[in-house]
Amino acid sequence: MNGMTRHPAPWLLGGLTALGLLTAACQPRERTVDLEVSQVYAAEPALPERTAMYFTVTNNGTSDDELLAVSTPVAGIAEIHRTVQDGELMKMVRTDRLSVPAGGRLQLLPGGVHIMLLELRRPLEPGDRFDATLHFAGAGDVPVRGQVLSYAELEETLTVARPGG
Amino acid sequence: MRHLAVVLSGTCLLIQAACGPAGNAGTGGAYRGSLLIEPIPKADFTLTDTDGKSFQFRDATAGYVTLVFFGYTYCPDVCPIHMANIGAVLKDFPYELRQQFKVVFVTTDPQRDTPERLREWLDNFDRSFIGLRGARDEVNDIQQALGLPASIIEETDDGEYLVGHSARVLAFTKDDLAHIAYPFGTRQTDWAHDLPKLAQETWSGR
Repeated sequence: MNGMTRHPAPWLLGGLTALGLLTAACQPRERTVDLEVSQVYAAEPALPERTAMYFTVTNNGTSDDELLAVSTPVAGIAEIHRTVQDGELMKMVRTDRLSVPAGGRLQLLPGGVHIMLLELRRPLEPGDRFDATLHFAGAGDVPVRGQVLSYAELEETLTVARPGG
Repeated sequence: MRHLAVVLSGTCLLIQAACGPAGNAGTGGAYRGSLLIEPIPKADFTLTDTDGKSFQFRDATAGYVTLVFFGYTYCPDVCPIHMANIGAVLKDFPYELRQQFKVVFVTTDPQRDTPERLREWLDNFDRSFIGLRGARDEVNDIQQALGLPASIIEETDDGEYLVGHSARVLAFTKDDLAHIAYPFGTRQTDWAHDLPKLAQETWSGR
């Protein structure tokens, strides 16, 4: 009424500021996605139009992530497939997303999960290098470079997954 | 003659004891493959090979260590790895040993696996691998006669299809019986270990 503004007591201001600072310091650090891709291989195609691709993704961050898709200039189509054991039968099931949990690892291995590369655009010989992009929900597009191995070399290089344990 | 038979069995037992893991009387201790509870006889069937010729399975493989696998060439993961592993190991065998083996691949997808395609696919692994084709029903009957499940077709969204099939390789020894099966996951080192022994295996004394 008389134009004078009421200021909060200095001790209150100080206390609130201290509380604010304390809260800020205790906030959890921003969640991070930190992916490392290794062991990127494609098998030398047994027949010209299709082959399998494998790789390992290690998530060193604190946030879970998911692999949504793979693209590569060497193939028109790249599909994620999981090999599953149904009784005595082994089948391939097309999969949309593969989880890469925080602190965990996603390993694509023969007999487990692989990327089926279809409509190959050029011959792939053992020793050839090829480019690909892995598309993750969190980390976005991650470019990788892989190597072509013969099927026999693949087995020696990667541990072959035993489906169903 | 009776004495000779006794001496031979005794020798076989001795060899097994020397070669098997110490104190192991369990499932196929000397082998890395899985010992079958009941040995499976060679089914009596005739299919067509990649040259278009009739292949009478029992006659053509009599006396050989015969590895039999049912799969298809549109499978980029399991089938080529099995075949590549076997091919890689056999390639390293000396001639006399290599000659004792026959590898037979029967397609579960005759619609797409033409003789030419089958031959081209198998040649990646070993030019002497035998490729056989027959009608799906016939091949399913043969699989069942060999104690394997019939394969199943699963259509995919894009109009293609995948084939679910057994991924085991049956190993018939020279007695024309399959005593051991090799699941997917069998490594080259496992084949290299087992195959030479299978060539000499007589299964007596078990």
